[in-house]
Amino acid sequence: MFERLQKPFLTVETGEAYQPIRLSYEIKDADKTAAAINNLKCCESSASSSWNWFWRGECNDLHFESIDAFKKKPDSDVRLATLTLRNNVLYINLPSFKRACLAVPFFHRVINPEYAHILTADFINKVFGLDERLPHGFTELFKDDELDEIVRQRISDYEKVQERCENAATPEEALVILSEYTKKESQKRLPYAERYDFEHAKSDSQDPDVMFLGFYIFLRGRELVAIRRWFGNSGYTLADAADETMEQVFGGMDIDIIE
Amino acid sequence: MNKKIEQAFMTALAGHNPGEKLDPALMDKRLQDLNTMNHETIKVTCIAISMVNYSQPMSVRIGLATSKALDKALQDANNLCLSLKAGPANDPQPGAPMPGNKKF
Repeated sequence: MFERLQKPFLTVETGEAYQPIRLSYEIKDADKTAAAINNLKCCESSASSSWNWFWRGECNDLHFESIDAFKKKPDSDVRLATLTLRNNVLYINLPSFKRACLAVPFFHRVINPEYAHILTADFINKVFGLDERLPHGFTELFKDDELDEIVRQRISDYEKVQERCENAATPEEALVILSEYTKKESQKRLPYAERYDFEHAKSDSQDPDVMFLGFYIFLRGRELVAIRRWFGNSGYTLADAADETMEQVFGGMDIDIIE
Repeated sequence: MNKKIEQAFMTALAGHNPGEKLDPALMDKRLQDLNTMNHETIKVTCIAISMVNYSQPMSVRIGLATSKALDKALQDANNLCLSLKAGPANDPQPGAPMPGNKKF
């Protein structure tokens, strides 16, 4: 499967690929948000309005399956992320997609969304080599206007498809329209930096678990694309990732859709 | 939102009529006999999620199975990557900086 791999990529302590990602929360009540964070045993203040998030206390039961052999060391806490409250925005900076996927439901549970409300996740679609030069922070990585433009364009395209689906004569015809769109889009090369818009992803059912699951698939699919490209499969796309995933769901990897 | 696609999705997945409560037993029975339409429907839905955060019609069951499959693929990749590195498996990776650090 990974026969073209020639050299390892940079990983974090818990084993997953190093891929910087920044979560941004709109702050409605800065004092209550800070108080909620200060109340957490897993968060420790590092400076004014800044905290480190450790793998302990309330998040002790978070489970990383990134590597088989990883064992938590009882005498040293793994730092999972840094948090910064600045200009009415809470930023959570994480070094991997997996940690971001764990952080979103965790902080949704411990900080009242009425005080801090998640808006976006900004990330890059690549993994790094062990000796590769790393960016000097998120400012260098992410340009707000460029990220916004990518999201705007994609949503605009999709809304046109959605309208065609709604006007389709039958559900089957609507699916064909969506199928053609996804086939075309998923063959495209992913941009270097990208933004996930939680507002747009909000489910009609308002069920946060559905939203978290959508975020998980969105990010982890991209992680697979980045890693397969690192392995030398330069033409690998989201469509290939979907094919591979479906094969595992329906194939012989003991992942049963009926559970 | 996307009512027609949701209908197609649910119908193809489990013979489910929109508006009816999903019967897990019926769903299991139908899923034993997955056909091309099921695969295509699920694949389209998963790609749509990956392209435009399209989570509205997503069956949680499908989502969980998909996320497990992704986890498995990535775990394999991470283990292989780790096996190519020198040193014991549990060594922290000192070269992995945190965003916001001076090193970063």
